[in-house]
Amino acid sequence: MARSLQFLHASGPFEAAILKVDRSKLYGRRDLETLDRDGHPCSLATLAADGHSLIPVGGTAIAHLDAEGLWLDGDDLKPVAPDGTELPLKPSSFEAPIALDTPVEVDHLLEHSIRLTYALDLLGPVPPPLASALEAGTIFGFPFSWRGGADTDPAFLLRGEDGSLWLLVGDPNSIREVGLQQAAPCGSVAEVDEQDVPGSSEDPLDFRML
Amino acid sequence: MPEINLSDSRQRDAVVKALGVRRREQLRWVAPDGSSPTNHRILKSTVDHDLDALQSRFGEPEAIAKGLVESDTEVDFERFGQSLWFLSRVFIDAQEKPVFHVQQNELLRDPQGQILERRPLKRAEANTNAAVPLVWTGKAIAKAEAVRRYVFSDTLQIVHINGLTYDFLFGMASELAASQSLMLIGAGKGGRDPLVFRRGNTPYRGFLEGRVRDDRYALLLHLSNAELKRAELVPAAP
Repeated sequence: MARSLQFLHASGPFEAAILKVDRSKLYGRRDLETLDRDGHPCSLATLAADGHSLIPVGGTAIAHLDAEGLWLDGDDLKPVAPDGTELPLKPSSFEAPIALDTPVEVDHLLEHSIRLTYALDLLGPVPPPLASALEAGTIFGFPFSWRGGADTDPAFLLRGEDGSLWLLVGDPNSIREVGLQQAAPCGSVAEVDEQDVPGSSEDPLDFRML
Repeated sequence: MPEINLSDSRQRDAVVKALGVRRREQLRWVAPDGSSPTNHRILKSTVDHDLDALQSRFGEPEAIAKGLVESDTEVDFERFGQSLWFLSRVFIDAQEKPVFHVQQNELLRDPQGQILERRPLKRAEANTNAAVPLVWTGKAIAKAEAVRRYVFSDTLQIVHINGLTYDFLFGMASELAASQSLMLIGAGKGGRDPLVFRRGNTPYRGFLEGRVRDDRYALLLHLSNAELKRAELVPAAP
């Protein structure tokens, strides 16, 4: 069953179930089938450096070792900020209402790479002032954490073109304007054909063909 | 840092650089004494100790459980826990033996998981630094509209490599900034093809955005392979 989130706006609260929507649910997916010479299916495994140890999926793990090479339990590790200050653990976003008090600009949203997309299924009415703001194009930003922990992800609530409400969870991008002096390393230049002009009767935005 | 061959609205083109801008996690994990641990990949199990191997040795689940309790057969105390390096990916058959000659097919499935087509695997060739430059398609979408229609799952920042390409990209960013729109760009003749940065990688639709402040610019290539649309609203493929 879909989990639900509570949102709190100045005009009132509302609750919505979240449904993950990804590319495979929209357009289908492409699976890879690998067959041996006789047409029997094969699976992937990992071969160790000794050349004969075959490791199945899930057959490796990451271990944390201290400076002397001794095992450290993951539960004993503490999250710290880059400056070394300990970070407090934050609760899951499902445990308390999410405050919708920070409208953000479109440019701010475009400074994030969206990793997760959730459609909201409303479990009650959206307060009319909030509904009007969303319809007018307001985007709200807030920190989001599924399980809770030291870190949160930037998230956004907005109304899609189809009228649905969406929760987008992403990663921030580091974007800075560059001037003449900040040139990248030099690369080769290819010969090109300048006669090709854009434009086609085909719909250039058919996402099913990707 | 990949190179891309990009043209502007006047069909002038140049090879420039594309930078990944996704910010890495800002936090790090420390031991109770404040020291930073090192991470190592270690061996947990091999195929000759997995469930299939135990089933062929002991048979029924009850017999497997008894065998595990009595002899710790699932653990190789000499090897499990050792650090791993120089790992390779290999295909194995049902008998868990390496396979050296394989053929690969791609199965196209609809959103319900039904197979629509099975065909030999064909890897899309990279086309972002090809002889034919990426071109503006002429399809401009207001930023406010674009974020409500598409899921932008990655962004690259396009940067110049010399004075000439600075002027080229600054002009492009200025034009886009003035329009407050994203410009759909495409690969191949006429810009009809999606962008493929490496052979076999995910194809994306590319949208250029420009920002300008004084003599500085940011030219961003937003990548999307999905619309912001509920699954039930997507029409079936023809």
